Amino acid sequence: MKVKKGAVRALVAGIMMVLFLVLFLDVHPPFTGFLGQSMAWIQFFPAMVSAISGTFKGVIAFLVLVLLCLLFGRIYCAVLCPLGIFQDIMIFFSRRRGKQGRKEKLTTATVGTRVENKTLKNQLLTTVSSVTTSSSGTYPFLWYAILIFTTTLLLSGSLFLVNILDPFSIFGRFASQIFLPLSATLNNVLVSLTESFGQYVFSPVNLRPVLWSVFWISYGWFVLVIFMAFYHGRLYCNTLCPVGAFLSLLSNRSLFKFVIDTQKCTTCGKCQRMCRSHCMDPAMGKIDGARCVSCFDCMDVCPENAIGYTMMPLEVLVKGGDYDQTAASANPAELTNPNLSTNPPPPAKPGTQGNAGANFGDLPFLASSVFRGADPMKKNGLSGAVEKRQFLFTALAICGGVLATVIPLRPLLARMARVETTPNDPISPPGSLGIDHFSHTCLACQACVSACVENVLLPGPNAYGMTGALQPRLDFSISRCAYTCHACTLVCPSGAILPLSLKDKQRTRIGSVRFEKDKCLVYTQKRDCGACAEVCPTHAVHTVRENNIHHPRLTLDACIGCGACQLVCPVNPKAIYVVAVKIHEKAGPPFFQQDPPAAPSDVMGSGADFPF
Amino acid sequence: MEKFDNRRTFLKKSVTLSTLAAGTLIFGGIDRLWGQNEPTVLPDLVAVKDGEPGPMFDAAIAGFGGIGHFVKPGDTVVIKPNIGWNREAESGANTHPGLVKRIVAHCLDAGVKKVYVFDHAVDNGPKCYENSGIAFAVKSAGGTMVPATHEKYYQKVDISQGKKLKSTKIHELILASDVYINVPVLKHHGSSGLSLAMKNQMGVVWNRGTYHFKGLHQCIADFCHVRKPDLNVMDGYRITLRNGPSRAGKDDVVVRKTLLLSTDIVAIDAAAARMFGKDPKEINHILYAHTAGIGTMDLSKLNIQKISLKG
Repeated sequence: MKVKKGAVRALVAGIMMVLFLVLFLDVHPPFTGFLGQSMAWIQFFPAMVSAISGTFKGVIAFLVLVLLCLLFGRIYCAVLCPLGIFQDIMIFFSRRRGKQGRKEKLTTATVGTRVENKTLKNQLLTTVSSVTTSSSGTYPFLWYAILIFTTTLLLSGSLFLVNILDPFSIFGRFASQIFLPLSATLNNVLVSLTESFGQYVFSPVNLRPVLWSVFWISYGWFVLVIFMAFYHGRLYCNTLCPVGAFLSLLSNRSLFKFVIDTQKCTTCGKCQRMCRSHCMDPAMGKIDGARCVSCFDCMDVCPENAIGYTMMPLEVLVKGGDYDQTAASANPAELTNPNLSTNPPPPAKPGTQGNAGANFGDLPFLASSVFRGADPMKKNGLSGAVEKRQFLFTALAICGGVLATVIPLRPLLARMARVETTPNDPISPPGSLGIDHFSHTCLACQACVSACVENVLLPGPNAYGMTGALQPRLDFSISRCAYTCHACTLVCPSGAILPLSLKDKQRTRIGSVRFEKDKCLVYTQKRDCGACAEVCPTHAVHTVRENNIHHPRLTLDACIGCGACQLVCPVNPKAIYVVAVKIHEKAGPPFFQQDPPAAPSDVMGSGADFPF
Repeated sequence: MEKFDNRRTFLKKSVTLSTLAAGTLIFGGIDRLWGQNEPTVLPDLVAVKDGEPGPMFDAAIAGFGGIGHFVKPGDTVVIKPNIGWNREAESGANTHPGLVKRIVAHCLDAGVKKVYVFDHAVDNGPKCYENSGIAFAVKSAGGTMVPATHEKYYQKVDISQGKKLKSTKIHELILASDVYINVPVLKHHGSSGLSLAMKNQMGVVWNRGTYHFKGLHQCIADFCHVRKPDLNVMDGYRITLRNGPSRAGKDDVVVRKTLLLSTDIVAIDAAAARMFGKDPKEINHILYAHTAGIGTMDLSKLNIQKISLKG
């Protein structure tokens, strides 16, 4: 029995999807923590940022991902990327709908008249392919420009574009901004339903306050991704995704690649229609390794078993690109497709799209194609050595360009970031070491926000200035950081929030308390309030009884900046509030007042009678 | 619309049933003349010591001839313990789960329809319910834990007699239930001096912040005009001496194995204050409630029954 490889791929991807949802919807906290920690091992930007911030784990994880791509192509996009899998789900629905439409078409179209003339059919397909590929859009310029800008900004110390474009983070935002509120609403409907029968079975969930800017960014991307996936397959991955762009540079040189056996191929075009990445070109006998996301669908759909997933000879690996040109086993494309040399398809967009089969990935790097508008036919004639040199030059040029931009940008960005944050520093979550570490490593995937049951962690639109976008901060006007909770520290995939044990978290100072006597009710109105002292978990705020009124006092050493006092302070503007500490500190032990309001012996000493 | 109807029926029901409840008390007085189960003279306050929470409650409620004095078969009962803090049972920050469990069991034995337990916690509600051990205790006794962390459960009431607190939103079950049992824990409190029965009632309102803003002690006293608990049970098993109410250290909590029980919320607070070594007058809300005639803090005029379970 033939095992459907595409189905196996889909199954693995499906399992991954479930895990992602468990992580981002915080289904089962201990397990979510485990998942969050493991994600850094298999997610591109979390690994990369973790590597840049200097963790050994990050470097290893990043190298593993690169190696994976060098060996097996963009298998990452097929089974590891949550946004990719999400798109595949959309594509699945799109195909189901398409099937019904196609059935109707087939009955009217000339089904029986098989085109026997292979040459004619090839011609037909070539034109079709050039039309479809150009209409389905390949925009390498945009794609690689995004990659260059993203990495430039990343290396210069700003995660702004990474935050917005990282597919892992985008999916995280779908979960935290769309799925989570939806599930909370469903839960509350269920609660209302059961309670209308007089049963108290479930607890209602308080909906997180919505930050509209964050919501609309997430929702806009949600609509965009669904639309693109539904009508154009994996177009998003191949035009807008920086991870896709980066991996495409490697996947074109991967050890294992999909290859069309041009002798078996009848150029029926089924694979081409099926392909979610629009990277099949059966007429030319080519598969664009750069855009292929290794979904294995083409292998399943091919009636002739003409598509193989095979190991490349070393020669091809160095040169990259077309297998059938060099591999000894396959015939040169010219033999199978004799018309091609005489009848090359018109390039759809000269300049940006020098390649008929849109096989831009076979160029050493984009620069050579994009900037010189290389003719594929001409290029095929170049020897491997020249290509290698060209490749090196291009790589060097890009690196140089990136560095040239980075070096002047870095202090500028740092200054911009500082200016933005100085007046009111955001409070970064415990375990994030401080504002700088956090804003330079947080990918804004919102895993911590989803994990925060107290709703105190909110994605600040740009709380950290230009160093990042949508990175979360604590908002004490809405809630406070619960003393008995360290959920957010356990789930962070990028190492922006390092895991803290509850004990350590309870001694981590993320902010410091400020008290303004002249606003405090106890001082202005001379009567008891004490709301702040009541909720302070470390007694950093406590009361001292004078004239039978309890006056708030501070012991700053014990303060961890949880914000409980600020939340409950009944006056506005607050008489007590927390300001961020730029670099988190270790707080002193909880402060217990020792002179007793009531000595133990006074209170019903052992054997004592009731004093009334 | 349905919800609205519900609310209206709730209110109607609460009015009818509280009248009925008041009626029962009168009839209870008549019953006393024949008194088979009930003692001839009811105590105003029962003080028990040197026992575990369960047995101490058994002894205390026996002073009234059993829980049947307060509940009738078919009633709905709401119990309001202190579950304000996400702390374990040994911390003394919340009511002892063993006590709550025993009260639930007594009520269900008396044939009530439903026993609800809730508190509008200061910390994360569901976690408080769980970690205090009260959720488990209540469920194992057959009671129902009711969520209180959502505003939808709270209904606005006007307090015409209130001096500072003129209106507030209180949990629907306080209005709808036939019997309301208040089960505070005796502890030191950093803002009100002591946290007792009246202070415990801050856990049935939605917006506690207004109390602090308008005047903590006066609002605590004012709230007693809304609905006085039918029964107050003070858990004095563990007493927080200082650094209360939420995060007292190990040295701050002592085991004293005491329990108070009274229908008078002011009297029970006064007795608890005395136990703590304080003059009730020093705790302003006790004084305010006394002057407003909600109850009496003058313990000398009360019929106090003292029980020791030692030996």
